[in-house]
Amino acid sequence: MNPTQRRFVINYLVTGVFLISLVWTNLAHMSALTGQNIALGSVNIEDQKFKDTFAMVRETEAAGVDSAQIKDLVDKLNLALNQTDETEATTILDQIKAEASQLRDTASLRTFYNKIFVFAMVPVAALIATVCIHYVVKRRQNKVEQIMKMKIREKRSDQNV
Amino acid sequence: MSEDKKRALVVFVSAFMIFAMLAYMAVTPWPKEKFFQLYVLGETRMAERYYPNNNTNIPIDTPVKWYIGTTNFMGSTQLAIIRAKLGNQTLTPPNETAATSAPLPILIEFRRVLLDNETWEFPFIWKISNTTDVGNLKYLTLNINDVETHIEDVGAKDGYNYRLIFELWTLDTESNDIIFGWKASNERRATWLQLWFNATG
Repeated sequence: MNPTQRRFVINYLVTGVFLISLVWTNLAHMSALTGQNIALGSVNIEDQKFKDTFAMVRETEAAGVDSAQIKDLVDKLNLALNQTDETEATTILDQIKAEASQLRDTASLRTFYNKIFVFAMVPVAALIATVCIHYVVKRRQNKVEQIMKMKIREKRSDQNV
Repeated sequence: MSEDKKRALVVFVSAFMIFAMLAYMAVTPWPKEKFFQLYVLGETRMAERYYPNNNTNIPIDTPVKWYIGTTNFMGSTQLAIIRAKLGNQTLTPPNETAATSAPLPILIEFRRVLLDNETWEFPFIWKISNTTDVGNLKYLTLNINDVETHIEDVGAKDGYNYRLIFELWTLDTESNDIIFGWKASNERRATWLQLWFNATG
């Protein structure tokens, strides 16, 4: 396989993977399209308990919890919304609040460490870039010096011999 | 300082600034337009055939099937509430500029917590179960998703020009209130839809 063919195959594979991931993401987002239970539950959305739980889920999301865990919390919130039994709904809301609080704390800490790591990498990356550029420049300088040091010599062709 | 050291210092400072900027961009979420999408589809789940036989005169006990959908583009989890209201030609409709909802009784309310970029679509099946005439005004009893509602406050002359209004409400976490529309960058936005029909069949 020549380099052009290899490049074509690599491009084809990368584009394929990208398109598959796009389709997969869209399918995941359309998950709520069908078969939703729209029966009105007993949870009063004006109730402070529901609002507090919702706010906690939002905080957890903002703290950087991954989407699968947020989806899990949101599914439980919807379950509570559709519950006809008020006691059951309250229990679910309490569970969500406790779980969200724990996830939020873990995610906040992880996000904080991630930020520290990213900013700590800045001088390291700058140093690596400096060293690389230094060697590239040095090599070029050496080549220039090599050219400059060249001496003109008479070329002896076969005819002259 | 030698030429090499000077150059290395300049390169290091420049690279530091570039990487610091990239790091800041990596940890800071990009601002994006925040909005909701609200739509109604006909019985074929397309923007067509909203009425049986494409006739806006709905006879009694004739089911009409629509699909109501909303998509959350707010960049975060949101509580979406869709309120269906019955209006006529003269009663005030919602005003999206002033973000005021229609001063009409709520027929039914659907609510769901939506993830960012999530679409929620559900069937809205309704029929006129009964009509009551008071003078030349006609009052309706509607059956929506098997929930029977008699609407005493909204009548229409000879049963002409009723409209079903769908409003999108959300829970605003700043004020902790259920609001008509949503808040995006301290701006109030609202969306609503209406479909007209006659109860003359």
